[in-house]
Amino acid sequence: MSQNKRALLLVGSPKCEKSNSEAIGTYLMELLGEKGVVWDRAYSYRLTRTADGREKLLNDVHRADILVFASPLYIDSIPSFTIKAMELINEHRRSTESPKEQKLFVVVNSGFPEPAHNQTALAIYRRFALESGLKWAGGARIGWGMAIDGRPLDSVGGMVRNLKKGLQLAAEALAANIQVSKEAEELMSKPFMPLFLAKLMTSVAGGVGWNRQARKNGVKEKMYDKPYETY
Amino acid sequence: MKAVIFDGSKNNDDTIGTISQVVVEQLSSARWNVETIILRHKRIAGCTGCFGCWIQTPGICIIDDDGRGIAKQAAQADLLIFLTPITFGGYSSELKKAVDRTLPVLLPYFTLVNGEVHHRMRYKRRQRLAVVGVQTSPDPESAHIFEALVERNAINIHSPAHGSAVIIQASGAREIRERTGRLLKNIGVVA
Repeated sequence: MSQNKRALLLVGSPKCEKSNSEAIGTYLMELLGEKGVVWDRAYSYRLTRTADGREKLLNDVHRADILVFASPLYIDSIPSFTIKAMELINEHRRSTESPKEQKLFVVVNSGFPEPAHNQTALAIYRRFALESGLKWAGGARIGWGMAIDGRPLDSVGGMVRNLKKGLQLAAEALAANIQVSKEAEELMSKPFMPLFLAKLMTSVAGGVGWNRQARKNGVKEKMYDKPYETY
Repeated sequence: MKAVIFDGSKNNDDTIGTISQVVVEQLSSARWNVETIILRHKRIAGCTGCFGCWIQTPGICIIDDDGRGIAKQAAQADLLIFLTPITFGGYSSELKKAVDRTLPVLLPYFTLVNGEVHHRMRYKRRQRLAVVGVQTSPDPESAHIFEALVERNAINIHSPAHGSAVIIQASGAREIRERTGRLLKNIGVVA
């Protein structure tokens, strides 16, 4: 049934190919590919920077039947250049007489252990769908992205089993042209480990990790610098 | 006391222009020193999430453009005011570009706020936050998302007082004055 369907993964991270958004989005797209969906990938960070890129973005989006936007959380919301891409898509669709019927599925991921951090970004994506005449297919809120670290999900291990199961269900729904179920959304959004443990590890191991990187750059002693202090 | 207005309007946005003028008047008459930054006139690249401002040049963004000044202004202000057309319930890309570049005011280290993990602040100074969003027509769902976003931003910067106002584009100067006056009063920056 999904033989002729096309899907586009719009990666909303400036880390592009090395991002968690790419890793999670690609996993979903490959599952769609197995179901006969022809898919492609684009990067909002690159495409929104030039006029040619912006035109390509709109063309890529127009070709798809299924849009999958995957982005990191930046200050409680979506990165600025991905919002720019959304503004462009919205303007384009609103100025088109009969915009194509398309659906939108989104993935928001962050380094915080609590998936709830991503709630507002997800709500913004949902509004974007509504205001742009896209059919909302659902979304995933993924926390503790450091566990993925840009790696393909199959190499991450058991921690992402629920995420993978949820993505499998999402792919089945998207290919069958039905709404992604709440069950799938909850599976994808389930913390990778008990929340208290993830919070503890973030607080302790997170700090150790930053210190290690700073030491490598020779700035460990400057981590608390206040270059703009006025008193 | 210093206030900074980040104006995230698009070209020819008369409503946000009026809001900005009114807020400047209201704050100036309460003896605030106000600086307005019209973001579309600045050269601000999008944050690349490289964390260089934490682990390479702590406190300073490694991108050398006007975004550095944004972080500096945010760090040195007592009051931050964001103005934006409400965009899918959130901020315009123009405003978000600046907000994303304030990352250097945070530390990479974590703390708990109401049991939730957040970043610690680099500076002792805390900013009150007032955000005004403009809607073309009343839309309660979009306004609700907007208010939730402002709440989340306030938690992020450990703000001592914050608030938001949603103003309809067709509003006149009198209504704008009343709404912004109430907002500024609610967060304790004008009498």
